[in-house]
Amino acid sequence: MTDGRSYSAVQPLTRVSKKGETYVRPAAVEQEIEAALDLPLNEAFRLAAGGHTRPQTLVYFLRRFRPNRPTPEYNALVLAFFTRLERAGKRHLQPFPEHMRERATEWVTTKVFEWLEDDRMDIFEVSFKTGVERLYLTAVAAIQLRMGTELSQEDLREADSDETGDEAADALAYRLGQSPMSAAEAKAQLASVMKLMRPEERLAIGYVVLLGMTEKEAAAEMGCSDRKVRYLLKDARAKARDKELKK
Amino acid sequence: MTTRPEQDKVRDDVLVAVHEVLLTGDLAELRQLADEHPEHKAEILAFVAAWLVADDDASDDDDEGPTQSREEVLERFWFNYAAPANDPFCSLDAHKLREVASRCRIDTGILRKLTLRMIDEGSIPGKLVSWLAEAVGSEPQQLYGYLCGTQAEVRADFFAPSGPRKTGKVEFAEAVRTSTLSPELKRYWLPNI
Repeated sequence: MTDGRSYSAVQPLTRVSKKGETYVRPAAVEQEIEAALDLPLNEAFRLAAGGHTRPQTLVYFLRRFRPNRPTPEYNALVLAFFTRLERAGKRHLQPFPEHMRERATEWVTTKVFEWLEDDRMDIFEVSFKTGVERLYLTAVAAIQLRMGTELSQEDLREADSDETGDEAADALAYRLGQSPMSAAEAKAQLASVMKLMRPEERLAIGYVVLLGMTEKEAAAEMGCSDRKVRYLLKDARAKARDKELKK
Repeated sequence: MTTRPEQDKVRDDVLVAVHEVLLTGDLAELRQLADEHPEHKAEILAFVAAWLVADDDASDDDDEGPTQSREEVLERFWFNYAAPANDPFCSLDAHKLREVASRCRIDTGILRKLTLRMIDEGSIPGKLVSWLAEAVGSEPQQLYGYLCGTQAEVRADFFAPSGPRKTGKVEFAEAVRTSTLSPELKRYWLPNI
């Protein structure tokens, strides 16, 4: 009898990014999956469900070794996955009221089933955190589109400055410098300012400063008036200026 | 599970591209993406807005369990996923089965037990399932779903005086110990023997 194969039993990922690169797991994750595949499957399930492996390894076994009926070991894996998912996704729901968080959680669960069916879970084996972010942002976006960005009457107050919205947006954009940068870098640069902002102010900054929309276009997206967007940008500018003065 | 409309899948693809750009791309690329997909502009903008307001510094160290009940999560999961049970070995002749066994470092006796679902699927090492799947042109998910099925009755037993019999599934380790594998291969699968 021949000695048989000795190459890796770990299945490669197949999803390709927008730039045409196939997703690849980090080396440490590959090694962990390889080691877990040496074990009897129920033992591997127990380790992953018990939090003794990386979440990427948990997702690997969840996707590829589903029995045709419920078993205690696999059920524990399913529950562990959803627990980790909700725990990691919680921060994306913090700005929203309780009833919306419940809807978002329900929506995320449905989306997970769709992604499992469509085999879209590769990103979770590359970075669980990135997969969670992608899932929850999609959920939040879908719910917000249905509910709209509702702005309360208390928010309709006059800004102190005579500065126009465009001037405020330009001033904020100046912080980003002149050279091209990534959206993540832009968010990081504005991070210290963003922390001071209400969600509506962040939206206005995002639409006008990051996406280059006019106040009118941003207002249409936000479901409010041009004037409201102008006030939001002025308020944001005022907060950023106050922060600069306090340095 | 019902088939999703194609436009839903296209929208998901677009939002995946948006997320990738947000993580690594430049702002011009983001605007270009919105221009390229006017039919999904609203979703793109909503996604970007949600990304902007997400608190990157928020901790996810939380020991609370899922907000949905355990029963609810499991019920939904199994409702959506009845795993298929097609026999991936049915089209393989004796020669091919011998080849599969050799490639996967087992003997035909163990392979026979696997094809008849006589081995407890939870006791099989994951790498053997992966190798077997590749050797028979299947996917680990499909193969494992088959292996989880009920133990098959052996045809010859129909003619036995006592009639067909089914014994409980055996552990993989036991199948290896009683096999014709070389001591080296037995140690390979059971390093602690």
